[in-house]
Parts: sequence; structure tokens; C-alpha cells
Amino acid sequence: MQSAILRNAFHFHEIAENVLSLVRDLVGAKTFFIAYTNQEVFTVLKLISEENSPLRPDSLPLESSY
Amino acid sequence: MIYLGGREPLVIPDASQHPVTKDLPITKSGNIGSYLGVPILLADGTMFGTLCALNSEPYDFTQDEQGIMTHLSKFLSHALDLEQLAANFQLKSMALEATPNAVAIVTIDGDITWVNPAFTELTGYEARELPTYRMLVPDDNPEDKATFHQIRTAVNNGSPWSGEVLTRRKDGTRYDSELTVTPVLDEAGNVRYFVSIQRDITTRKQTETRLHFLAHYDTLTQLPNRVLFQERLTEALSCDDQDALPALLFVNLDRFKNINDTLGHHIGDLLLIEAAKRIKDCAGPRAFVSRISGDEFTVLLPGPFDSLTVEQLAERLIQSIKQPMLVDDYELFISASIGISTATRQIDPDTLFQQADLALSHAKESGRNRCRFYTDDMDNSGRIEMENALRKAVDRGELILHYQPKVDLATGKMVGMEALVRWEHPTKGQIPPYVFIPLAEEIGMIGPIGEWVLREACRQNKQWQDQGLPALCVAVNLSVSQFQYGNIVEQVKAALADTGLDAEWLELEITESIIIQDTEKVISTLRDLQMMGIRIAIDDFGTGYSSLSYLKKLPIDSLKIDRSFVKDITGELEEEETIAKAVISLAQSLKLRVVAEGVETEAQLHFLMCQNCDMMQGYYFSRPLPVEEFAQLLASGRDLFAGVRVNA
Repeated sequence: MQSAILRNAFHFHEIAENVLSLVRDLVGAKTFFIAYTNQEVFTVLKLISEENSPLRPDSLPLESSY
Repeated sequence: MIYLGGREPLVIPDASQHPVTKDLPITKSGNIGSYLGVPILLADGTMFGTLCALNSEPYDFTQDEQGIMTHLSKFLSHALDLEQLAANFQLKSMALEATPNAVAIVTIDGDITWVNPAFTELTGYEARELPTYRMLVPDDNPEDKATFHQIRTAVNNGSPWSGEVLTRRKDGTRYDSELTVTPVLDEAGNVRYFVSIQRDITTRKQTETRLHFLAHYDTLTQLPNRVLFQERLTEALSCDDQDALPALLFVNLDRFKNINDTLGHHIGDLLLIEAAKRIKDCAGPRAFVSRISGDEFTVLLPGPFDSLTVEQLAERLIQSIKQPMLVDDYELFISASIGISTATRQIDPDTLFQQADLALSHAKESGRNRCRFYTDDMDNSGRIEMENALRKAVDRGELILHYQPKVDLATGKMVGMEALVRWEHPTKGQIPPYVFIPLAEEIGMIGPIGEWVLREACRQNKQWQDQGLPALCVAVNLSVSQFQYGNIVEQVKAALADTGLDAEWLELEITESIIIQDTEKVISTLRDLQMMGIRIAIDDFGTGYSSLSYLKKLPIDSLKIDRSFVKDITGELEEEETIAKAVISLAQSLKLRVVAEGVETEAQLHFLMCQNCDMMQGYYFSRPLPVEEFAQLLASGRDLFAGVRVNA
């Protein structure tokens, strides 16, 4: 479902990066990401991490999700 | 593991203490100390994903931070929704651009604001030079004006409209289009725009027009055909105004078949074209002229008119057709016959047509090249039905024989019988012989019927003899056609052989009309029959024109005085009895036996007895009887005029 939505969302990736940058500036945390789950698969769409986080912008099995 | 699918924000300041996370491996491994996740929910309620912030150390997220995360997740949601909308819009826009239908978006004031490429292709208007809607759908004739008014009214009322309209291109040419107009309402429910979708149906309309022509017109003469004629006739007869009821002229070219047969169909077709033109020219613009088949045309003349006008028109048509036709270097002469029927209130199309057809037949029978008005005495409806029924009557066993006794005047005993055919129609009951015998002669059924009568009479007579009833001679009438076309000698031989009846118990009655056909041949045939032992009688004697000189040459055994002479005998005037007397005297001179037919009164019986007439038959003694009744009479051996003989 998310893949279908993203297929038509040509500008969303840029927007998502901007939003994460804004969150990084305004929220006191070290790691920020946008993710979704679909059919037992956890996908990290965008990620900003200022510490040694094991997260990667990739798809993982759900049991490895955050 | 943290489940990210929740629809509410999840705040975990210290993962090692939180019931959801404290036992997770990633918590224990030190990868997560605190967590803040906010769902990204789309406008339609779909959950897309989560916006998350986390630390490897515990952290107490402030209310502001939670608020920021919530707002930004909504921002992401809106961004996704907008992208979806844009994609959706783009898809639909592409569909509109790609559709072969001409689409235009038009303001309520009639200004076209957007068109697709198909519109440009169809109308010739580029996007930069768009016309007003009125230019596109013209209203410069009453029909178009009415259509335009309908469209406008529908749009103003916020209702869609669809229909076929004649539309105008930029170059002024017109084309048929199927138009759908759909109003577009704003949020307040007011019509601001409407969407116009046109489809070019010119080809379809042309095909329809062609098909309509082929279905309703004759391609040879270009005149309306039978289908259209029947439609117009029905329409004309449904008129309530008596004066407007039409006259129908049924025109047929005389001996047209000869032209086709001798000069070929090509010449025949050219002649038909010329004839059609002349009929149409003569009939004038008020009349509806059709070619309904081969060489048959109809002219439907609407009322009011008088019969003289119709007759004059018919005469003009006849004269016009009669003029020489120059066809492919041939100068052809042909005439026409016309049957005319004038409509009356409540007459149906079929009846009017049949009347005109009957009148045409009479015009043909009267010598062709003329017209005839239908009159009631021409009507022979039911005749065809009767003909068909008669053709099947023999096979269906509907014919039966009745037997009328012949009585010997000297003994009062029954000495013979005449077999008389009867038709028991399954629905109409018994049909009199004077109705069906002439019809059978006309349609060529008298031969088969005559043969059946001969066989059945022989079979029945033999059966009675086998049953031990007194043996009698059965008389059977022969028709002219049995003599002319059938081998009567062979027929009789076969009937006797097949039934086993001895020839001496069969008598054949012939009329004078048979004798005068070919007297020598008849004499020869009769001799053959007589040689077989069969008796011959002349029936209805005195009504024909047979030469008395031949009478003595004919191999006959008896004369039957026609009932019309017997009927004249009343016992009051001597001159009424003259012919009967003369016939009896003639027969006696020629040594022939005499049978009087149609004896109905005692006076007639007395007269005939006094004249020494040999035999009689008639209602005075007995009417023709069905088989069972005749058998009873035969078995009783009753003296049929015992009381009379005493007085004689």
C-alpha cells in the first residue's frame, strides 16, 4: 500500500528529508527517522542519526524494527 | 521490538523501565534508551507510517517536542495527500487529453475555457482561439433552437443533458455529434461550469441513413418500397378526419414479364425506372408513390378528393405509361392496369390493399390498360381458404357419398342409385356441391375428386352386395376433365378391379357438355366402356346443345330428364309438360330408358307414370341418404310409392 502511495509521491522524499532536518533542530534526540511497516516488513524510509545507531534506511524483518 | 503501527503517539522516556521496551533485546543491547513515535495518518484514515525520534540514553521528551513531532507528522500526511491528489488529477487529465471524445469545459456564460486535443481535431478550433458555446452548437433554425434551449435549461437547472445535435466546425461545416453536457456545481450548489463531451457520429448517421434507405426505398427506382408504403398507409388510415382518408391506386404494368423474358432484365429494369418516373410525375407532389414489387406500384392519394379526381389521375397514369418508352435504343410499348380502392373509416391497411388488388384483377380481366374501382361484389374473401381446404379434403377423408334411390315406375322397387358427393368441412359443416364442385373444376381438383367418387361408389356397392343386400346399379357422374385429361377407361377398369365390383353394377352419367367437346372421341371412349359391360346415361338431358343426330350414334342406355323440366310439371297447364313429354318420346323412339330427376310432387309422379317414364328419382321418394340410412332402406325392400300406384 505504502509503495503504491510513494510511487506517485514524486516530491515526498525531499519533503521527508526537510522534515527530519527540522525535527533534528527542534527535538532533543540523536536519531530521527520515518518508517513504515507493511506485510511484516519494517522499512526505514529516511534516517538522520548523530550517534552510532544500528538503523539503516532499508527494509528489515519486523522483529528487528524499532 | 517496538510496534510502530499504533495510531496514537508513543512516548518512552526510559526504555529500560517501560513495559513495552524493557525486555526487548535492542533495549538490553543499549541501542535504545528513549523513544518518541508519532503516526503519519492520511486524510482518508490510512496509516502510512511513523515519524520517530530516539536516543541511546533515557530522555524525557518535552511537551513542545511532542507537539512539534505531531505537527510535522501531519505536515508529512498533507504532503502525501497532496501528492496523491496531484497524481490522481494528472491521471484524469491525461485521460481527458487522450480520449477520442471532444471535451470542453464551459462557463455558465458559454465561454469555453479548456478543450482537449480531440476537440481541436474535431472542430478545428485551437486552444488559443476557443469559440463560445453558441458558435459550436448553432441555433439558427427552429429545430436547433429548440435543442439549444433544452441544453441551456438543463444546465441552468443543474441537470445533465444528452442527445444528438448538429454541430458546427470552425470552417462552418456541420457534423452530427452525440453530445453530453454535465453541469459542475460549486460548494454552494451553484452551476459555474459545465463539461461538454462530443462524439462525432457522422459515419454512424451516414450508415443509418443508408440502412434506412435500403430498408425503406427501392434501389432501382429510388421510390419508397413496400415497407415504407405500408407505414404510410397505416399512418394515413389512422387519421381521424374522414375527408383526409386516402385513395389507393394499385398500378401494374401489363405483360411486363414479356419484356424481361424477351429483351432481358437489364432492359426490364430500365423500363421500370422510366415507368416509375412517369408515375411519380403524373401523381404529383401530394401523392405517395411506391414500388412494392417487380412491376407493381402503388399511389397513395391523401384526401380530400372526389372519385372523378381519382379516376382522372388513374387515366393520366394509364396514358402516360402508354406513351412509347425509348429504352437502350428500343422503342417499347407497354400499358398499365390500375385497381382503385378508397378508404373508409375503420378500414385496415390490409383490407384496403386487398380491395385495390381485387379491383386490379378485374381491370386485368376486363382487357388490361384500364382502371377499375373496387366494389363490394368483387370481394371473394375466404375463397383461397376454401381452395386450400378443398385440396386437402380427399386426403383428410372429408368427402363422403350419399346415395339417392332410382325407382322403377313399373314395380315401385328401387332399381338403382346415384352416388352424390358431399363435403363435410370440419368447421364450416356440410358445404353444398353447387359451391365446391365449380371451385373444384376451377382449381383442377375435379379429376382427383371424380376418381375418388368412382372408387368409393364401387367399393360401397360391392360391400353392400357382399353383405347380402339386393344388388343395385350405382350411377356415378363423370366430369369433363375426367374425359379430357384422364384415361377414364383405365380409371374405371382399375376401380372395378380394385373393388371387385362387377361392371354391370356400374353406370356412368355424362353430360351433354362432355359430348360436345370431341364427339367422335367421346363416342369411342363410351363404346370401350360399354364393351366392359358398363351402362351409360346422359345426365341433365335437354339443357345442353348436343346434336340430336349424334344421339343415335352414342352408345348410351338411358337419358335423364333434367330436373328443370320436371319442375315445370304442375298438372295445371299442358304446355308446361311439353318438353318432358318430348324427351320421353324421343328416348322411347331411340329405345333408351328414361329417368326423371327431381320428382318432388305427386302431380309430377302421375304425369311421368302416364307418360311411361321408366324410372324416377327425387325427394318425393327419398332424398340422397347417408350410407347407413340407404343400407337400411335397401334392406327393407320397401315399395317407395305403393300408395300412388293405386291411384295411377
